[in-house]
Amino acid sequence: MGALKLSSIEKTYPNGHRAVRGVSLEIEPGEFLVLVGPSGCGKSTILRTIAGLEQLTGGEIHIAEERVDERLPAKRDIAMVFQNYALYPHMSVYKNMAYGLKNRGVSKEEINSKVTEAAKMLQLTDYLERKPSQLSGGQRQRVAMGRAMVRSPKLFLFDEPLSNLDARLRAEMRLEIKQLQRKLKTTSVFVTHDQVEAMTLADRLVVLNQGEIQQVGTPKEVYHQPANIFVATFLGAPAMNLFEARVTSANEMTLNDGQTIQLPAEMANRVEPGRNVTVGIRPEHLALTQNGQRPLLNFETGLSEELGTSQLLHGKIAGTDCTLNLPHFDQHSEDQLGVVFEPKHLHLFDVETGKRIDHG
Amino acid sequence: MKKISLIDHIILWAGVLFLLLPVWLLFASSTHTVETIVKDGLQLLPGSQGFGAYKIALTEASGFTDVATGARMLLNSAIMGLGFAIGKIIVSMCAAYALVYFRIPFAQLLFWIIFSTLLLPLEVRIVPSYEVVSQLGMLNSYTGLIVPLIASATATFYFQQFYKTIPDELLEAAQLDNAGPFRFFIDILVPLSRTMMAAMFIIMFVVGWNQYLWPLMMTTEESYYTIVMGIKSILSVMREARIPDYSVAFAMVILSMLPPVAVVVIFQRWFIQGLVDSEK
Repeated sequence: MGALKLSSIEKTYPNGHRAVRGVSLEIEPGEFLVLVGPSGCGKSTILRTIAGLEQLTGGEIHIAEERVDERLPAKRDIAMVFQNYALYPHMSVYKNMAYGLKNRGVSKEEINSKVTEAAKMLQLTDYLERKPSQLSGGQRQRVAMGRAMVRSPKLFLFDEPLSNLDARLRAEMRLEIKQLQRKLKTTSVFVTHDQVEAMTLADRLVVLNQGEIQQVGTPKEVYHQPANIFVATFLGAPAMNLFEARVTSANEMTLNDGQTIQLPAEMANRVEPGRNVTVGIRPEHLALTQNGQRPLLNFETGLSEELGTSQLLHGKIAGTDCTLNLPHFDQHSEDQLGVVFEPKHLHLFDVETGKRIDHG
Repeated sequence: MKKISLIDHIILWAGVLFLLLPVWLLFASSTHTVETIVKDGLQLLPGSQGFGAYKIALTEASGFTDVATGARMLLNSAIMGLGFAIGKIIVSMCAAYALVYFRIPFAQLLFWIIFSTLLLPLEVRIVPSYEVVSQLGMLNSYTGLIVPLIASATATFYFQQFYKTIPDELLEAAQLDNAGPFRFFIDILVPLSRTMMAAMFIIMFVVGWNQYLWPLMMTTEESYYTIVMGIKSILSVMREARIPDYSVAFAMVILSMLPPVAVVVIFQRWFIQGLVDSEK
């Protein structure tokens, strides 16, 4: 039994743009699901079809076993937090939160107790009489959440709610949303293009591209076993390094410039010699040789960037741009450096399909 | 910098004097006797009669019957101006709401049809309009004075442009909050349009108050005369080779100016306040 079930939903706009192409998903009660993808990948459209703000052109949506895709937004028992909060500017915080309840014929006493309770939980008690324009960005965000909370809906929908906040506040609100969701145990769907938000908030992550699901999994799975090149490069900053290579023997691959990489033992039998593959490795999994260690690859050094906790070293391996994320602050003046890595951190993708090779 | 600001002030004061001097001349002259005005022309300083002329203007009827006193005409003008302004605001808000928020077939065409009525001001269509009103038996009534004029392309256009600036998310939030089209209009759009309504009210009230041709056509009974018509009828005694009551006429002109000025002063305050604490 799912809290929300999408059955191959489709959305084609009147201008012929296919925003969502046959997306199927099932969300468990109480789960925090994050839809992540680049802009235009259809993540917001999916959210809006769940809310009923967009009509489906195919498929079905069920919320708690009831088909809802033909119902009005107000009859779907959901609440949504919008990107720009969409608070009613002329109403006080109290009225903003109470409006949905009032329109549903809830009694004054009940509205009062619910709004007061939500305000308490969100630390808005002192601001109930203020207008949204008199609040800070974070407070407006809380009001928007309060408006969703008071109705105790079956489903929370968040449409990039943190993108209007500055970096510090965003991190704070991120934590607050997570805590709140844990406390309320309301099933939530959260849309974002920010991978940090996606990784930190999600129980499960759905990576989307061009209206199709690329991968569904826990943040850890998606990060460590990306299903394809798109997912591999989309998550992680800086992005995963990719090299073209050719499998030359049962346990070796050759890069463009003739350097060879040992195939990890468990993959030795999965790729036949002569096959072209894309090799991926994350910047933090590459290290420089130390104390006369034998280098596995040669690295032409370029610019370095200081991040505080680590240092990014840009350069080239086998003529392909490559970035190293190093935990130590060393100055590097050499043109050539030796690079080492653990074979288990290598990702292999099919050149044509972009699919992960050891996957499945 | 200081020099420039001095010049600015001189220009401003010149403008103020240029605009206010005629009004002051009217006011000062209205406190003189008719003889002084006829003999010596307009007066710069207040005269001996005080506000006597105003009392006459307000209470004494000038026409054939006893009903068309200044007070009565002021009341008629007020009803006309208010009905005109409020009616226009209501009609054009509803029209703009329909055009912006509903998927109507040929909405664009409808909009241009509404817009093209700007090419047909009252003066062009006054004969057919009169015909319609008289066929409906609405001559000499407030309904006949107001209703035919309350459709407004200008106001519809302004409200439409204003609604378009309201973020869609507000409508979507309202949809999720179980607010139907009517609730959304009353609870969200109308309160948000307050400043716009105040602006429209200022403009439309003044336009309505200053209507001359339409009430002149529409009313034959003196009890429906408006103040703008009243000024004319006082001066028209000239045709009867009598000296018109200049001081009374001037007093009436001043009186007829006061309500629009009051409306502008009062609503401008709201208008500016609304602009300052921008809520949108």
